[in-house]
Amino acid sequence: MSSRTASLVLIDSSEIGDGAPARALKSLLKLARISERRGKVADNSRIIVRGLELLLKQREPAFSGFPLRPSLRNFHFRYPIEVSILDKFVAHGILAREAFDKVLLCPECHAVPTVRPGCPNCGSPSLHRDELIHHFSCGHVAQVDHFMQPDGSLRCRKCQKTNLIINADYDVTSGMCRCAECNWVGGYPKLVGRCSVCSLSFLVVEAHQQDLWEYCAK
Amino acid sequence: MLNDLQYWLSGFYPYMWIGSFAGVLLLDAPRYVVSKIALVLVDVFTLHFTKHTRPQPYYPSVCAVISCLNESETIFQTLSSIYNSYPKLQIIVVDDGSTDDTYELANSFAQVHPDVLVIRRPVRGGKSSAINLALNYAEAEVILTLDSDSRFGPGAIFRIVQPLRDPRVGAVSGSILVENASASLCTWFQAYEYLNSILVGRIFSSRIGILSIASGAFAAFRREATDAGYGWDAGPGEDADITIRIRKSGWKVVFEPTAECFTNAPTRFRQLFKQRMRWDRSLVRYNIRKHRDISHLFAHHFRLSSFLHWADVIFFNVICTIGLWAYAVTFIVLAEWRTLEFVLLLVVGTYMALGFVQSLVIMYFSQKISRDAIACWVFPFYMFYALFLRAIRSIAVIDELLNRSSFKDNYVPKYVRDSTIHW
Repeated sequence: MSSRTASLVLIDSSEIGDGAPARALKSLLKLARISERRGKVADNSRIIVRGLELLLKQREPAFSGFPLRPSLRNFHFRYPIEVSILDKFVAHGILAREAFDKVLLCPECHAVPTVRPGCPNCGSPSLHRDELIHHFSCGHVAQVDHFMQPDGSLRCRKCQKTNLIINADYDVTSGMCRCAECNWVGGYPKLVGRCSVCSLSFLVVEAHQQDLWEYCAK
Repeated sequence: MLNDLQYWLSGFYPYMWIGSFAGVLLLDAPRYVVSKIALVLVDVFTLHFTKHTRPQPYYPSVCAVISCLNESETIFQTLSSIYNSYPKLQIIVVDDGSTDDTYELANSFAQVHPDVLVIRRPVRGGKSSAINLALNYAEAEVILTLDSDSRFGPGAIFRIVQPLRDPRVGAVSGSILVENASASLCTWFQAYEYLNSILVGRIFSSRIGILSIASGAFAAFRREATDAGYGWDAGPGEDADITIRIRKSGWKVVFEPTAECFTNAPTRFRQLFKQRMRWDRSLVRYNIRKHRDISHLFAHHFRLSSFLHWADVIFFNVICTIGLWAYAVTFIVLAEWRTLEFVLLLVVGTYMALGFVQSLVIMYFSQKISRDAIACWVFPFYMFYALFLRAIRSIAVIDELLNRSSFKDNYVPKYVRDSTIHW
């Protein structure tokens, strides 16, 4: 039996229609192995790719042909066919794999997170930068609240001077970032990811890095 | 020759003897040499006749505050050298308006090292306010002030905080030594001077309880003591100021000779002149003006130790320094020119002998004799350097008394120094 006939049999729509794509894929892989053994990969690859296309069309009505790219489903990157099987086709020289993208994912469940600048300690996005008053005459430096009087004027607690005037008596410098939730203090907020599926908060530098590939017909 | 000398000596009247050697024998020798010999004797005695128990190591949490201005060459090295050198150490770097990449370097260090905070001030505000800014974020029991161009001896942070085990101690001065002693004659003299006046001088002052300075380059302060006065006042000389203020509120100030900090001293006499003018103006600014109340016998915060410190500074550093010139003029006018050279030779010889004794005392207190012995070889010529320092001090003291020049010093930015109280 020639490989060409085999492929025609294998891509019979009734078999795919049976809801047995796994079996169809296995047959396609078997065909790929036979072709490889007989050194006829180039001859048969077009037929096998056509078979794959039909199979994919059956499973994914929106499939428009190669290259096959991962798509986002339930916040995970998925291919319509298991990557392990696609990689087997790559190994047999039927498909080619090319780098498509690299994404940062939740370190626990590998789902896609949302990313924001936030507190590196607790992940809270509610950070603000301290504002500090530097009183020139006595060198006192403290937060604005420390100087603020109930009537809105400013008074230095160190030297007791009242009614301070900006730029003449004091200036305002920005201090460190402070987290409203956990009182963390630091120079800058860090990028914090929150997983859309398991709600885990994590620093972006600790995220799982995943390569995304696209599969093309050779 | 010997007959000549004998003839010359026999022609001396007693008042001439006293006149020629009063300065060295009645003032310098007792204050700076006999005191140190007594210190060594007391030390040797206590070492042999008392039982020493090794105290438990004391580990308070420490916050090292480094205020820096254009220190990109040294900041990374300083941070690396102190990071992890003490178990509970927070480091706060305040970039006080640097125009180079000091902030970027410090920040890149802080990115990968937890417990390091870097605060940037776009406009320079002076060292005192930089430290006060850092105090807002310091969460430790002890505040350590460091210079970013210094190197620290092994275990220096641990050693400097040990005296704070005594709850009466409010500030500890570390031992400052010259790193670049071999760079020039000027730094060689300074290396000897630091050993003589900081190491031995402060051991002495600390022992008798009159120490009133903890150099800003390496000093530890109890947080409670600094917070009571809302931190540092504007400089120059802010380290002397805070130490006197801490003393005034009843704390003790001590010296820790084993906590070593190596600093780069000015390599040229011109730079040294500028530095000492700044230091010496502080004598007048703080002891004669701002904190003259430590001499008020009936003030509520009167302490005998503070008064002794004040009297020591006023007498030896102000009156004697200026009096020296009057003495020298009188000496030259009254002395017979024929015998002047002999008298001068004897005075110089006496100072050299005293210098030798001082070197021996330094060797006794030295933490590393092989290193400090080299610096001590300059002792025969030290008196000329000391004379130079006294000349600077005289100029600085008179200048500050008349012009209040310390309030015009660019050490503090103009907008700040114009606003500070001109004591």
